[in-house]
Amino acid sequence: MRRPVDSPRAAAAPTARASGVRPWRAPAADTPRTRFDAVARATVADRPLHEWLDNYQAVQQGWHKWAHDDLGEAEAWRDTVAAVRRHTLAHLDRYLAEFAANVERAGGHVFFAADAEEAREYVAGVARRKGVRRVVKAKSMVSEEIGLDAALAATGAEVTETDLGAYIAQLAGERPYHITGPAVHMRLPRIREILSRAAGEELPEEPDALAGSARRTLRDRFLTADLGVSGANFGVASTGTVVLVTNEGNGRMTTTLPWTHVVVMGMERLVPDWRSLEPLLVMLPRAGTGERITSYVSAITGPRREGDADGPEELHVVIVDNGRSRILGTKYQPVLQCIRCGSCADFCPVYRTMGGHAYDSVYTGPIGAVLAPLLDGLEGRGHLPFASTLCGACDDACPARVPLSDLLLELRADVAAGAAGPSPDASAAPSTVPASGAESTMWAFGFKGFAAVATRRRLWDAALCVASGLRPILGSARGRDAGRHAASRLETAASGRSRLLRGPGVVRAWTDARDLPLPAPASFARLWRRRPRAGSPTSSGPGQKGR
Amino acid sequence: MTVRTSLMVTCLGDALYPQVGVAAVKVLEALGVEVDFPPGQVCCGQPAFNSGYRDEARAAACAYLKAFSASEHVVSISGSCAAMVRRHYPVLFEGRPEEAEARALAARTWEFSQFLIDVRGVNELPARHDARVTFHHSCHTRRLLGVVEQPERLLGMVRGLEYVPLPRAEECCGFGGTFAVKMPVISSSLVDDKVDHVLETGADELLGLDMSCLMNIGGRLSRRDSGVRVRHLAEVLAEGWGR
Amino acid sequence: MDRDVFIARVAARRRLSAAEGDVPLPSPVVPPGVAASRAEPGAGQPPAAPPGATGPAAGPAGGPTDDRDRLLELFAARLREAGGEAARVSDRGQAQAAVVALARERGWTGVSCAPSLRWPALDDLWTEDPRCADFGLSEAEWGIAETGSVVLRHHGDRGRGHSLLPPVVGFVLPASRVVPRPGDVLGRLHGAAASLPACVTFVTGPSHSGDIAGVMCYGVHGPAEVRVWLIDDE
Repeated sequence: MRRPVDSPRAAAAPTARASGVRPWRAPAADTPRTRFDAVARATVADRPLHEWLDNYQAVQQGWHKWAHDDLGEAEAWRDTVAAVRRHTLAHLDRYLAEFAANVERAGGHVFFAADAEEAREYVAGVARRKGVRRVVKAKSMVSEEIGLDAALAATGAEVTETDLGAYIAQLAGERPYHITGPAVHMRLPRIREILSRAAGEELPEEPDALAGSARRTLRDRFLTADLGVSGANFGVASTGTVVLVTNEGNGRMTTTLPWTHVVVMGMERLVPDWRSLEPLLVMLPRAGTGERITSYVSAITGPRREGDADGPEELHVVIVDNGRSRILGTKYQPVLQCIRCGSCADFCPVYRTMGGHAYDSVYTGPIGAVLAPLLDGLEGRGHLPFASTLCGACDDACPARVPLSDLLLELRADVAAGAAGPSPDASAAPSTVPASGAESTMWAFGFKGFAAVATRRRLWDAALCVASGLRPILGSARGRDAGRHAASRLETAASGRSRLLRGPGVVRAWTDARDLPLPAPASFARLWRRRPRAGSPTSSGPGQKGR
Repeated sequence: MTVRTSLMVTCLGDALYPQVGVAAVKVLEALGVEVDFPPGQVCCGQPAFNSGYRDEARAAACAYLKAFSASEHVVSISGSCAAMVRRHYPVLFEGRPEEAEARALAARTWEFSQFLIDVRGVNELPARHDARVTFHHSCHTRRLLGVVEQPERLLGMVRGLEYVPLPRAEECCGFGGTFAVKMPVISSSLVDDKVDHVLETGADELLGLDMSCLMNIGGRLSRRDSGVRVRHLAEVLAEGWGR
Repeated sequence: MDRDVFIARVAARRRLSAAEGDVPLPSPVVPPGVAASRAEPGAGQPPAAPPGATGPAAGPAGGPTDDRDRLLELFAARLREAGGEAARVSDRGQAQAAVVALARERGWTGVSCAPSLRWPALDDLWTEDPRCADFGLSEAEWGIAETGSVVLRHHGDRGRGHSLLPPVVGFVLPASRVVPRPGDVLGRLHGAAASLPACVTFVTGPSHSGDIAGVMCYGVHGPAEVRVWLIDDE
């Protein structure tokens, strides 16, 4: 679509924003990568969703910034959060022992689960022993990670997610979209439909009415549940206290009303003592939801004491490893500093473009791109570290200073080296399961060629000469449309050539949406060599005498 | 004391945008800086490094270390390449014999606008450019180099130039190196968002200091027939010098 | 997995990176610059408040009375920003009268609170069971000015339900127990760890959620309305 030369450039008549990408044909294979591509593609193509996610991020970013300005000296606070987390990880064994001893001293039970299966079995065992019919859950990422819901359902109990977003996602049968907002992608009409079906009546398309309906349904579940399962935002080692940071009140109800309370907690979520809890309690709400503090912070130390008016009679804390100890002691250890605020996803341009379901994991956003491959293995997740432009917005947003971009680069190095996951040794040497496929072989080969050229100036000069020589064939030098013609000539002229380009698909991936500039008539190096040397010396290289 | 610097023209600059190198040299020399061009330079190694091919990146980087070994300062016309050297060379060569040399090179490598303001201490420019322009800062330049206000200060010194800030300037243009061709659907959506913001400004020109971003945004601006001209900051300064 | 094996495995792994040197716990934990500049909470840069919020303008430090007044004003302002309401009363009797008046105005039939908190004028409304109450009253241990929070220690008859289950909840708090920052309460809990009850709760304004299409809804699932009475002569 060509605009007249004298038309105003203002957005009054915006140029067409066609996706410029080839029509998509369903791929032959169904692999994690093809599923990823399909989801990303679908999210981009869904313009209302695109605008919705864009707006969601804009709002979140605004509140994040407000909360940090309100706090003042946010950088110093971030340093302190990072220091507390690093210290804790450096002494994790000691704090785990202290935490467990104190939970038991307060009358709670502690179970150490090496993996998902052990954790599931323990909790299901508690449910069976107590004849549990109804379970309420306050959002716990780890319980999703280990697949607890299915295990509890298998005991015959009814399991209800009570966090509003998680409840809606559960009813829709969908994975959570975002760490703190499981249903952020859903718009009002769909939520109305989902909650109406659950309520068995047509509800109005009005947020308060929908919230009210959920409140009524879930209130009944809370009051009649025999088991409450919660996560833990933090565990205070010095007193064996489990801390929950929530806004809705479902966290409090889940941990107060049923007779038995089970906490499922990642083993890295400890804090040495109450004083070191402060920076985490200050920064988690500000980074995560852009608030000074959440409506509720519950600090639970053991089950109810004798004479207490309410509270569960039995408390179980399940401390989950499930791959975390394999990350400890490796170059990936900093990822365990994460406090699960979800801020990285709020600032990530790739997240808002491809959507939370593209991660195919309970952990979404930049943290998911790092954690999912580390916990699940690189096999089948090797594309996630590449789903990033390394723009660094996540690094700037993270309150715990998790060096996400650097960790993504490390993962990419492991993928290129054909690794399956972090090696058991602290050194970077990866294990030797080869990464899949022709695509990576192509890149490996290509970069070998790159290295050969990058170390040989003459080879580079020759390549540039050849490229310059191709200018007349590649496109016309007339006016500023040269770039455009280059793209169309590559397509239509000499079909043999376009087939060559189809092979690796690399150049086509560019020219589908963008024009590519023609190689310059003469490289800079050539221009420099031809440069007139008048008067004072202008050396052309190092080692000139007198310097 | 004369300031002496070597030009890091970058692989993209050498092959596709030599006029930017030429412009940068012109501006530097006009400011009394002696410029040389070590010919051994080909590529800083960033494409390989970002794709996880560290050995290959190191090979390219070694050639850079050698090429610039005698340089007092190195000025790059692309922010991301300067960032590669400053931020990632120490990582790439950690624990290796070249580590000290890499750190030393990192300490004296600059992005173009950063060099002009922070090293050369420019606070006025005899340049004129009558156009309405907007500016893209580039993520690596902003976040890895911390260069944000330097280009804006330079733009402020150019007479006749009307500067319109780019909405959502901190957002990535979607290039990300091989990301643009590995994940083209996501990349082209991001560059479309960026182009939308550029068009919102009503500017005649988009300026920048990183050829990869400019190639990306420029390529899409061109495909969408926007009529917006895309140029490196150095080109505008060189063209308008002494006017 | 056996506890000792689990912990030994963690110990072995984290020792692999111990070559970096010990990572000390920052002490004091609050950044020093922050601690100094925040000796006067609310006296720092006043940021742009969220829409609909009101708050006192920052002012210079004054004498002890001014300090306390400013602290209480800040508490009330921050609670209002969070969606709650605070009122200052001269004694407990006034707070009790306010509750009774509210009950009449709203037509409440059940007010729940701990038996030890109940008072005669409340008798015909009082219930111990918060599940069916219209209003729940609790005694707060501390207030936090910076956030507008009240902190409850749940032990004995001070049940959790009174501040959780009814749709409207209220708190009585001696004005002298309002502290500037969350860290001040955490420090006190740190020092009194031996007497930690089974549950300590920080409550800040009403329950809320933006999970329905980004629109903020209140009272999901906890109370939608929160009131705090700050009692002056306690």
